[in-house]
Amino acid sequence: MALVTLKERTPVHRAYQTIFWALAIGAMLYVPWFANKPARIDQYTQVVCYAVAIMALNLVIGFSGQISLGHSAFVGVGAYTTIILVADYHWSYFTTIPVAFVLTFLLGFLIGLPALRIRGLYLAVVTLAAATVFPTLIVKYEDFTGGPNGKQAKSRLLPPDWSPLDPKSRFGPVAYRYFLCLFIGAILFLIARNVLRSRVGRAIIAQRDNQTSAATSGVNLAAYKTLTFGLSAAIAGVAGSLLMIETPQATDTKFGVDLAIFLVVALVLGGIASLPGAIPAGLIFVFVPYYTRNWSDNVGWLQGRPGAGAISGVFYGVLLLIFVFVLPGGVMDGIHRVKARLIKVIPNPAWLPKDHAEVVVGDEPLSPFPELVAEPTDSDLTSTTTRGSE
Amino acid sequence: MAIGLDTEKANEAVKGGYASLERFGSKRWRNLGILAAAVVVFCIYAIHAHGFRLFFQRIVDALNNGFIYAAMALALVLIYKATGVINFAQGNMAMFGTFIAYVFISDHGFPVWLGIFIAMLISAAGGAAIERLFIRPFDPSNHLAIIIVTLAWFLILGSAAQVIWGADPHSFDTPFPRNRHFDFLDARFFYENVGTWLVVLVTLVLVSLLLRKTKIGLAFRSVSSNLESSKLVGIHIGRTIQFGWALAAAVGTLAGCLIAHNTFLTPGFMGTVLIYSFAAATLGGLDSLPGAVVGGLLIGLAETMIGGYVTPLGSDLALGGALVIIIVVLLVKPNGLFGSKRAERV
Repeated sequence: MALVTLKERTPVHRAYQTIFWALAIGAMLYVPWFANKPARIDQYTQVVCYAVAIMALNLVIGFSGQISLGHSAFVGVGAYTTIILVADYHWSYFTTIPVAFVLTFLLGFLIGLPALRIRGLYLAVVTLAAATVFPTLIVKYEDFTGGPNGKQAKSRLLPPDWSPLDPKSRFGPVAYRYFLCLFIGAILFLIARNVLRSRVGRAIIAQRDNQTSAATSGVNLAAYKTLTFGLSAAIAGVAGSLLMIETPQATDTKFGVDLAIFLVVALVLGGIASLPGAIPAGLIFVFVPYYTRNWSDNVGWLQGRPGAGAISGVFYGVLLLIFVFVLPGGVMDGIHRVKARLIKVIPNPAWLPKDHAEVVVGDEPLSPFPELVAEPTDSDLTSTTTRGSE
Repeated sequence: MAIGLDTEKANEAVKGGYASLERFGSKRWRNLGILAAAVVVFCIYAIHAHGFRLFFQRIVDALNNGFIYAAMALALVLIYKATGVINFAQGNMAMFGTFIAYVFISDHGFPVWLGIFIAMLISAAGGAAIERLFIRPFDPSNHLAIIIVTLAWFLILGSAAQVIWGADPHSFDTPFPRNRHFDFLDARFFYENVGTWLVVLVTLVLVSLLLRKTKIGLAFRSVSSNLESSKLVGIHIGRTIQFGWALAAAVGTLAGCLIAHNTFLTPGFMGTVLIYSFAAATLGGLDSLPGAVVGGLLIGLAETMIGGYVTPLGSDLALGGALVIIIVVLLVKPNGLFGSKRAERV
């Protein structure tokens, strides 16, 4: 049994929710003091940037049910848009973000158009090919993108005068960039959340769960699929811009197939079809390779091997296998399970119609991704047999 | 939202557009005519631009890669037919198998053929083990979980090879006479390349015989066409799918061993090959074995020809050109060139 039982939408339930959100936001704002080192704060800024990219990928994989292995290309396009405009045309970082948003939206829309026809795995292959082509394009158009040497911007973003952060101290600029990325990431999170809660979001999820019945209920599959892909690409593009705010340097290797694959891996570990899952996913994306590399430097049997750093890949793979068997909904699924043990929310009878059916509340929370826990039933099979024998 | 407003019109327009594409795709003979005309025009241009000799030599070179792509695409199609997913680990499974062969040949002094054969057996056992331990526990319709498992093995095998053998290239011996060639129509045919073609062709014939003439092959074809009905007639689904995985792993290792002599052996050497093979399998239709072979050869040809003759693209962007070809083909024929249409029941 749960420790606390709350009635839905009563003041007590509201208070719990408010306290939870206040703690969560407070924790995110406290990060620069918690990290306490400029390099570590930079890592948390990266967490925010990649969390935004993973959230974008979640819109496609988790909510619209298509598989994309090409989001590295969108992140890359956003990053290169920002860095080229800043370095060559002396724009400010802020004005490049809307440009990156629009540009990657159009690009995602264009790639999404064939996605209407190309279902499921075919789309995965096409997007994977796009992810492979992107770095070669960067190297090919060297004059424009800086090619394999990468592209750097000299000016970095500094805190403005009105902010209490000192632009000359070691912490000021890093902390400012962290708060800025967090702020923009929060806006994108709200956009994604509100889209998913609206009519558009319900249509997207309906076509994920059953395309045919969604279409018969009047969901315009073509429009919604391209819209989701475009929106997802646009958010990924802004994530690229944020990465450039964090470190104003873009190279072709930064946005290769590896990034696309590890974004998917982190998404699965964080929690598919859960927007807040992007936060644990971002933490995993940044810190798992970092700590495994530190760890592999100190392990006897790995020392002296040239490829010892690659052990983080093995670690990721094993983690994926464990998660897909034990916790298919990722970290968020685990958090929900723990929460369900501690706090039980029951429907408020006052909100229900007078002669409503009895409310049955189970202890188990619903999985965010029902496909993963759906048990195969033999009932169809038996019924077919009986029908055949008649 | 703008999306909500003119859905009717947009839907009609999009449907109309795709319906006309569909009609375009259904007229087979006219399309073949268009395709043949385009190929003829390209050939005339190519021969005119750089002469017949280079053109023919490029076709010969293209076939070498094309047959490797065909073999890898065959492995992908086998797993797609068995499990219904694309095996993202296929490239790294082949790479790992090639490293096993390398260990037998270079470190233990086995003859090249024997080493490759042993590696193929070990790979088949490995593929069967992956299927038994990590694929079979999931419901076959749970595609996302199975794809995640293949991604996990992609990471594990790729990184493990890097940890064990390092990232430096190793040279891999070829089982055919080295650096010897015969000339035909002014083009150079290296024995190692011709040997690769023959081996891949023999493999294709053997695999299709295995699927057509044996009981397990019949079971495999039955499972891939209808899982439920196969269960009803008493086919052991798990073992049949396991057979598909083992076969695919062995074919993949063979392809890896054949190409390793040209590309050198590194933990990442199957990466590009895998992506071209994905393209080949997609082009041919993911559930068609002949489609895999035709797709492989076409992608090999497209790669070399785009790299050779379309100068603004060059060899770096050959993959981009191949990608555009796939998208165009999929727009006209959504199931690939030879893929079967599937009707959906509600």
